[in-house]
Amino acid sequence: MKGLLAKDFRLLKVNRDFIIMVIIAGLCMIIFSTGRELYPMMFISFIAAIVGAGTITYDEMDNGNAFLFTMPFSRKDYVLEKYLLTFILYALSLAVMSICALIVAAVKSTVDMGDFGLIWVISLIFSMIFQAWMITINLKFGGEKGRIANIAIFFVSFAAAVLFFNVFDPDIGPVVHAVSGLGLKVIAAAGFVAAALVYAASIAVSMRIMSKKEF
Amino acid sequence: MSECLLKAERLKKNYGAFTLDCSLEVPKGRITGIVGRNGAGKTTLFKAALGLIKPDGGMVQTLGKNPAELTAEDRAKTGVALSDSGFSGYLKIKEIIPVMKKFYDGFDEEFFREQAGKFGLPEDKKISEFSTGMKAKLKVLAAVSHRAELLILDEPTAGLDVVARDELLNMLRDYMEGDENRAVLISSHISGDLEGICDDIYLIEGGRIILHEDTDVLMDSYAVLKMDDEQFGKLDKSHIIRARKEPFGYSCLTAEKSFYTENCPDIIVEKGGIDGVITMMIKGEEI
Repeated sequence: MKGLLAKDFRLLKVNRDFIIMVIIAGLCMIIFSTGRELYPMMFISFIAAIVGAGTITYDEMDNGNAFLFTMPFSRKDYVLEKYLLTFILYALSLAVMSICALIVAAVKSTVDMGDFGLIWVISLIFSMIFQAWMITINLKFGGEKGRIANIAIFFVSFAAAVLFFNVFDPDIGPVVHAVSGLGLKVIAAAGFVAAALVYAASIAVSMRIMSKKEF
Repeated sequence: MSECLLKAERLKKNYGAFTLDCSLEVPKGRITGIVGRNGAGKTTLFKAALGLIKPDGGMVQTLGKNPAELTAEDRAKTGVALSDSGFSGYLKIKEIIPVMKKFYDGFDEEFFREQAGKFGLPEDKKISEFSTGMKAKLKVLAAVSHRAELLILDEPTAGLDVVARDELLNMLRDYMEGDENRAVLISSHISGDLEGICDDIYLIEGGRIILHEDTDVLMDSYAVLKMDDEQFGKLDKSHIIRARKEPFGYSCLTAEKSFYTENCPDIIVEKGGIDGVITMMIKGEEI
């Protein structure tokens, strides 16, 4: 797995300009926005997942997987490395953004530090779900087809939701009321558990996908 | 036969109309060549041996194991060069070195750098900018740089000029001299490469092994006989493997050159070589 990580961190240099732009954009959002200084901590969770899962595309380019999978690691190692890499990217970006946010918070008085922990938890929940989604889709369909699959799945899900609400017209008011009555800590904990389950299921599905692949 | 590092028995893989169905052995201490036309099944056989594809039947063992069950430690004992796949074009040699060190405990960085310099491979240039020959050299160099027990090389000399091919084949000879327990399975469409380096050669056609012979025997005992129709009619065909109708009469392949040299002085006996044998085995007919 060390070899895979070493390879991927070197391949990430291809995205260097994109990563620098994202960091600059995040820093600008932190520095120049008022009252929304912590939002970049949310959006980097999506960027980290896109960049991390994007290394799957580089692996398969020019039939590179055939040679790559002759190297000393198992298919299980490969899957776990993609999750680890993406999580490392997320953790690093979150750390950078958090340090910047703390510095800005010390200078400006508009940052509500009470939101800091909450934003962290929400960022983690979204990140885990998005990482799980992106890695599994990229492993299943590959980079190019993965993009099409993402769009198709999004529209099908959206259409299904609209259809569901139009046909059944469910009264979600009591559910919303009950959930909001639980308190932020309970909701965040439940969200984290749900994200962890999605993450674990995604790893299991990804391993199954890779075990069946031929190169 | 000594212990085999790679063994296939009735190994089957179906791709539509194409079916691979072959048996092969790569014993320790030997360089085994496999030759055949494009699409004959060489790469499919290699990929099955490496666990990149799942066989539909039969058996294949690499380092004594089902390829699907090879551990990372087992895989570190194999060096691989594939014709249609290699390192990411985004990487440079100076970036590959630390990656190889992480993957392979036995990676010999000094040897790798020295050979890369000898082959004219720049360390600070993206592989995507390498010529076909440079990429081929890098693949083989990477395969032999970590003291593997078994090399599996699919068309390693493709795209190389004569001098570079010679350098690369010498590197393989040196690799074999390094340890008598090593073995190489190599494919090439350049028969001269195989004649000069292989201990034995398999000929594959249409997914099946149609000939397996020691290279010495192939070079010394096989011959292509050329004769007119009348001579062909009178010929003792007990040692003829294949015959082919030609404008001048017939060409025949035999594995008993000396028999025909001694008994049929009026027919032309040409040294077959691998190319001659391949042509006759594929284009000729059994008698």
